[in-house]
Amino acid sequence: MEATNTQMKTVVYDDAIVRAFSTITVVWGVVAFLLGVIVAAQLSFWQANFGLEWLSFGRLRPLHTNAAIFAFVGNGMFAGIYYSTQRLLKVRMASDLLSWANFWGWQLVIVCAAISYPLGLTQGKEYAELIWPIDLLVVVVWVVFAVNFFWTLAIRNEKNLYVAIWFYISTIVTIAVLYIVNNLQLPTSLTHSYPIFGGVQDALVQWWYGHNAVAFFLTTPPLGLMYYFMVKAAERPVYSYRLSVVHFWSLIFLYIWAGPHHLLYTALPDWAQTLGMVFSIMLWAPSWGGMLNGLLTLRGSWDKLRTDPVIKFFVVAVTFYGMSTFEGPLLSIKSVSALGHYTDWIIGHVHGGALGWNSFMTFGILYWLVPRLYGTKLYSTKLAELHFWVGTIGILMYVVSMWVSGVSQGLFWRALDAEGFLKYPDFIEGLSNSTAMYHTRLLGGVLFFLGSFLLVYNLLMTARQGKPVTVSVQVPARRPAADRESAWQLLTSAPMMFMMGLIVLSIWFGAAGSMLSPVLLALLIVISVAMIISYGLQQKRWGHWYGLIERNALVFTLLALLAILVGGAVEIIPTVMASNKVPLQITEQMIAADPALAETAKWVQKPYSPLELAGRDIYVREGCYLCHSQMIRPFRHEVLRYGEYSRMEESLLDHPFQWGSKRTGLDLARVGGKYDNLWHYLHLMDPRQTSPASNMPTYKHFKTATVDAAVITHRMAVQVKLGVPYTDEDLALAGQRYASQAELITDDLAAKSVTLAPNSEMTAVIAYLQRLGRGPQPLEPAPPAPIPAAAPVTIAPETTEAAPATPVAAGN
Amino acid sequence: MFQEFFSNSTLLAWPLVGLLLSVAFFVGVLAFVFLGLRDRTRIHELASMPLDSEETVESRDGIRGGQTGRAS
Repeated sequence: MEATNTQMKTVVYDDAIVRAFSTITVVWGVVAFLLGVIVAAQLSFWQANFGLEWLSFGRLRPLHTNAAIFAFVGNGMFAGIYYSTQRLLKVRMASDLLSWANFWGWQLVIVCAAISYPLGLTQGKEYAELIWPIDLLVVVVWVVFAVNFFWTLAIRNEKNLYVAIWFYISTIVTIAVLYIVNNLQLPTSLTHSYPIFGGVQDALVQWWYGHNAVAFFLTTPPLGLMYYFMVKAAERPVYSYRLSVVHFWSLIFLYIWAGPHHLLYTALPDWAQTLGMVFSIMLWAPSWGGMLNGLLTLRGSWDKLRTDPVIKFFVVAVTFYGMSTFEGPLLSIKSVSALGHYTDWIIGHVHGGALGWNSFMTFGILYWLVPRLYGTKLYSTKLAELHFWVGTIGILMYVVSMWVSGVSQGLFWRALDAEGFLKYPDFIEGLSNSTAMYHTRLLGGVLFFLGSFLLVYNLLMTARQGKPVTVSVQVPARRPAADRESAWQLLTSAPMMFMMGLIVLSIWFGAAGSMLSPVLLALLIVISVAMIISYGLQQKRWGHWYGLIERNALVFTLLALLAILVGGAVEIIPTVMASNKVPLQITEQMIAADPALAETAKWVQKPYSPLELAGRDIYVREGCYLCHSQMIRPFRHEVLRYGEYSRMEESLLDHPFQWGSKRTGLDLARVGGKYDNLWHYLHLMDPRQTSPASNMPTYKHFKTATVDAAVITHRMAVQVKLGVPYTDEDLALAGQRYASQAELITDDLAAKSVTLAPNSEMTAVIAYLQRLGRGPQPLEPAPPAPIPAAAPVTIAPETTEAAPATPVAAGN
Repeated sequence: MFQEFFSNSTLLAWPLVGLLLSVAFFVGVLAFVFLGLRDRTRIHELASMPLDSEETVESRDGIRGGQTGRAS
């Protein structure tokens, strides 16, 4: 595509791919917003589940989040990156084939997600729900994108790498690392797998991924786009380029450590929680540095705020970025987290970022981009203005209602009376109090959704009034000469050697378990500062060195990779090592050799029985963890409400962990034995029978769907490979034990006039729920629990036929 | 308080390693930026890179005209 003359050549940009990504961004945006409205409606009106298992909240919510993150923001990100990268590097993308493979591959991933989630095919990990074959597809598509991007970097006609490119590089390498590590799993079938990490390890890895998916998919790409598109829209250079460099490096280094703030006051080791909290607070600085840099880029152009809707969207987006990155560290302070965690406050926080920052940034880019892609002007500025105001009001209604609801929930749950007991022991009362806020949230979401139609119409008319254009640029025929120094010489330069040495030394001290004295720490810091200043006195050498790093894409990428690996390694490796020291099995021979182990043996977690495992897989399939936590924090009010606080060893055998992050319903960590089997049966058939104000969907399909015990035996065998201590006897007798435990439950129900097939999913789920919180201890018969007087129970006449003969694998 | 918080932990070194690394990293970044990037002209060049483009826009009907970064 490059026509060469003697001195200059013409580079024709590939904007067809940008047009494709822009179009599909709008389409998926509407879908994501619609799904958001539906799940919000389901929380307001439980009937909005329509009694269909495929539309239940637990299955649609992952579809909504994935559509918003990967389909809407993801495609918008690709559109922006493909557009800006070509112009910043003054070169066409290296391969049109790879560009289109990226496009169609990504759409295939999204379609697969849209099919698999409603079917209940999930890994059961938030924002990482895709089943393993789709995960592999994601990896392939991401590699295609990465190869195309780095190939383009290699053939660029611009020597310097602008800061936006830095953000794109960090996104590509970090998402690759996060996605692969968090999705390490062992398949049991084509549609089901267990993650290799379990319990606390899985929790740490999941939130290391979950938080940094926010960081490196929802933050660094839009920041890179901000540094390009905001500059273009304002027609002003970046306010402070040096600040943008500090912003970039500080952000990517600090963000990766912050994941554990999702696990404050859980069974995660305290040191990891503290690291997560401290690094989250430190994130305030680079985040606000970036926000201020973005806003101040508009200096001298503020008059455009009155007339240009693009600038309006950008300003509000960056303002929401500042607000979210203030709120995030605030929520990461342990005492604030104690109030806000598990509540709607977190939902409000997330949507402030997703709707305010990501969506408005994407809208602004689309309004700027589409007219240029079609060589025309925006069809209607007034419609864009209207979209801006409708969207802004929608966001405010959403976020403020969730703040009010969340803080109210936090205060409600923790309120104690004068005697030190729960002031509001009925959890469902708190849910009822939030109803008005849920309706307000729904209204806000509807407004935001309706606003998106204004975008669709405006962009459609813009495209119709223009025509696709081809954009080219003249560049020197000869590419800029590479710096003479090789990457190896750069890596072995004095500043690089010094930094590498310091990192290696620090990790060595940590691995050795040494206690560095404050004096030694201070000495190291003083020496490092002295060395830098000494080297820095020679300005020319520093400037030269800076240029080498900035222009050498390979070295730059390696440094960015190193910056993001450090935090993950420091947090994950010790957790994995420490958790692996916890004994999973203590045999009689071991006790004979060391009698002291007898006491420890009482607390060794026992694996789930075949029936319980089947129930657990169904629990994961239905996304129950999206509304029910299984992690009681060490607070008096939680212990009073739910029972003894959760300990790390209790979930070590859980693949995946199910600690949850939200309590629309009660914590279930110790629900086992609290209610009898009939209560669980009635509750699952229709939650209103036991909790009249509940907004939980019905799970009547559990009664008719069946479990194949042979599938569960196979899954147990796979769990053995993950370290779950099932014995050969356990595997050999799995079918028999499955049937005998199921009959205990069905016989108990039969005595209360309820007929249930032993091989039904209902039986398995009841067994799992009755097991929760009763792991190491011998299982005792569940005591009968009185059913609330306010909940008249009507038991429908039952038939005595067994469930349909078609077996459906539990879980997936 | 710090010692008390970690009194039963053998992993005290890790938060300290984290502290050491972040301080070193931050000092390194500041040095990288403020010592390595002191030429104001060069800073302005880098900051203006998105605006530095002389593009030609062509429709299916033929060339429609030049488009610069600043004008677009």
